[in-house]
Amino acid sequence: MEPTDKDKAAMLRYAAKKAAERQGFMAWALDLYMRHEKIDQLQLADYLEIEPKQLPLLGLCLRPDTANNKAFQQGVKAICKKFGIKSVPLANLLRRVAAYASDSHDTTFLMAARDKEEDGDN
Amino acid sequence: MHSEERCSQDNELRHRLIGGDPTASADLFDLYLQSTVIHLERVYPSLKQFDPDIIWDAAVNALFSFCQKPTKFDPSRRSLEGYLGMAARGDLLNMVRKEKRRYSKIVPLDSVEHYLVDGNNSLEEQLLDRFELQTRLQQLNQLNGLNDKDHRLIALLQSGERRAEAFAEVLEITHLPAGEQRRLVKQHKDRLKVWLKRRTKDKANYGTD
Repeated sequence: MEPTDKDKAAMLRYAAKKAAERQGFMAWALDLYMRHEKIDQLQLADYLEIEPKQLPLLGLCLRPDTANNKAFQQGVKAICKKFGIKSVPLANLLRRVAAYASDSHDTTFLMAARDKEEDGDN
Repeated sequence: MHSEERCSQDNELRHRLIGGDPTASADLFDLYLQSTVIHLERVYPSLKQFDPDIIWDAAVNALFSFCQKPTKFDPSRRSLEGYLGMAARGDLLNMVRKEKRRYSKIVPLDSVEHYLVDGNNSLEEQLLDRFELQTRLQQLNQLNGLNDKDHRLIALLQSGERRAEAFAEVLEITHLPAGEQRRLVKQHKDRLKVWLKRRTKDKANYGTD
């Protein structure tokens, strides 16, 4: 039996879950943001003003590098254009995530990293 | 879609990835994840029912690898769909090899050794062996009352290990006093030696039938 669109959506969700283990992907940033802000996917979609079903594909985009301002602006612009997101909330989210990640004393980040390692061990 | 259009689309996607367009990876997954999964399911039809996750994992890994190194794909040689299918088959084979190595370390019993020999010609046979091995191990464990720890203890016995600490580590009793550890280790070794002896005897009897 051929996979359906429903299967395709499930595959994309699965891939996004895997992408959340890779720092180079948006899914990693979204996952860390949700953990830190203690929000779920519906609230995240609400914050970004997109449909929850758009989240897997958004997660499969590469994460713009906050360290390179020009590339960051271009990356955010490209993602916003594709998904119809306003640039301010997305840029803020990515900057916040970069701040969480750079703050070695941030317990939520450490917990998230530890959770990932434990998931990886299993 | 005509092959020329597809070729142009493949080229464009490759260039966007090389150029650092952050949305190119999302388009790649949107366009090719499903077709890569379908390709694997067609090549290894019996695998889907055993473990669909391994197919999805192999397909996802192939796409991640392409995102990391898009220059590895040469559009003049094949289509992107063909390239990703080939890469996913390679990932699948690697996963199976990894599983085999893992099982060969924890289960040295000769009763399952023939499942670990790399004598098969097709990948599908190897993949099916992997699941037969899992089933056979479960059956063996149920029949013999052995668990994973027992298998690891038997592996130590067969390797000639004599240090009580090595056995204590497997039994997870290193927090106990040394005397208690030695007593428990001896108890388990004696039990497994009896089991191995009985099993050898059973095999000898079976051979004379």
